This record gives sequence, C-alpha cells and structure tokens, in this order.
Amino acid sequence: MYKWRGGMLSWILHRLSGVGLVIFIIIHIEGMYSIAKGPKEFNQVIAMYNTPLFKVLEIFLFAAIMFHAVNGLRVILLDFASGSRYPKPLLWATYIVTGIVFLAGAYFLWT
Amino acid sequence: MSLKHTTSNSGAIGWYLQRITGAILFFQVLFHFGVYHFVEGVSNISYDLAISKLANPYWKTFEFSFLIFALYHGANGLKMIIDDYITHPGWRVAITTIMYIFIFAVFLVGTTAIIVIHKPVEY
Repeated sequence: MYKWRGGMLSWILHRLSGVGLVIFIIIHIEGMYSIAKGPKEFNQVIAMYNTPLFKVLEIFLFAAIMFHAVNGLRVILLDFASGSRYPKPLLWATYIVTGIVFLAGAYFLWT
Repeated sequence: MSLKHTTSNSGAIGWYLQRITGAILFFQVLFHFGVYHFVEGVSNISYDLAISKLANPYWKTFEFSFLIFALYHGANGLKMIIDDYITHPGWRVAITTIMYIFIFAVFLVGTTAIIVIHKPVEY
C-alpha cells in the first residue's frame, strides 16, 4: 500500500471521495453533453440541477472535492516536499482547512 | 509481473503521474467549481452563458485540459483500486480493460460537449 504515515481514516476517505468523484464526473459529462443537443435540452438539465435534491448533492460534491483536493495536497507534500517531517500537523491541517473552507462554502451555496 | 501480493504493481510512472495530475487538478477543480458554483451560481447558468463561456478559446482550452487531467487521474485511481482488490490475473486485465474503454468513451462524450459546433440560439 502507500507509504502514508498514519491517517488510515484519511486514506479511506480519499478512496471513497475519489470513487464518488469519478461517478460524479461521468454523470456530469453526460448531463453537459446536452449542450450539443441544443438550448432546450441544456436548460432542462440546468432546471433539474436547481431542485432542492441537487442543491443537497451540490453540498456533498463540494465536500468531496474539498477533502480530496486538500488531502491530495497533503499526500504530495508528504511524498515530495519535507512534509514527512511533520505528518501529524499536516493531517490536522488537512481536516481543519477542509472543514473551514467546506463550512464557509456550504453556507454560501445554501443561502 | 508478480501478482502474489494484492497491492498495486502498476509501476512508478502511474504513481508519479497521479501526483502531478493531482497537483494540477487542485487548481483546476477549484477554479472550475468556483466559477460555476460561486461566481455564477448554478441558478444563473443557462445555455447562453455556457455557450458564451466556451466561445472564449482560453476557457475552452482550460475546460478541455481539465477534462483530460480529471479523467486520466480518475482512471489511474480506479486502476490502483482494481490492483488492490482484484488478485486474479485474468479478471484484473479484463476489468482494467473495460474500465479504460469506458473512461475513454466518457472522454469522447466530454470532448463533444466542449468542442461542439454550437447551434445558434433560436428565439
């Protein structure tokens, strides 16, 4: 497995969010393909995205993106920079940064 | 190729490229998501807005490169997961091949959506 020092939870969350984002991007590309069909078809897809269900899904998507991006950056710092000297502060920073940006962003998206 | 272990045996190139594309995607995904979900907002997105954005060659290039990096990164990630959990050599090759073909099909659909010859808006 990967030489990530500690942080088994972050490893599991990285995989889960990664698989989730692959599933999302497939659905997203399928939806955006409607732009090739025409204005009516595209705007119908966008109208669906503006329903409450998709608003909730948007929040989940944002959470998955933020965690996967920030935690991925942590992995890069561990592997290539001197981040492996500070594994625990980096892991804490990952959760704190993800949490703060997610809460602020989710509040903005919801309101 | 030894398949005695259940861990990834796909080599160092994929490992490096996963980190390189990941570093690029860190900025690309925040920019893409930021523009459509925070600056514009999903409620303001329409066919006209999407077409006008893609009419900009810089934006079109950005979206196309984002598509390539994201799908490569996703496929490479799935390959790592397949190598971790599918130990039978035949099944591993079969599932990996199907996965790559499927992701390539998604790439073609995405390319069509980004580099499409857009229909003029009719009112």
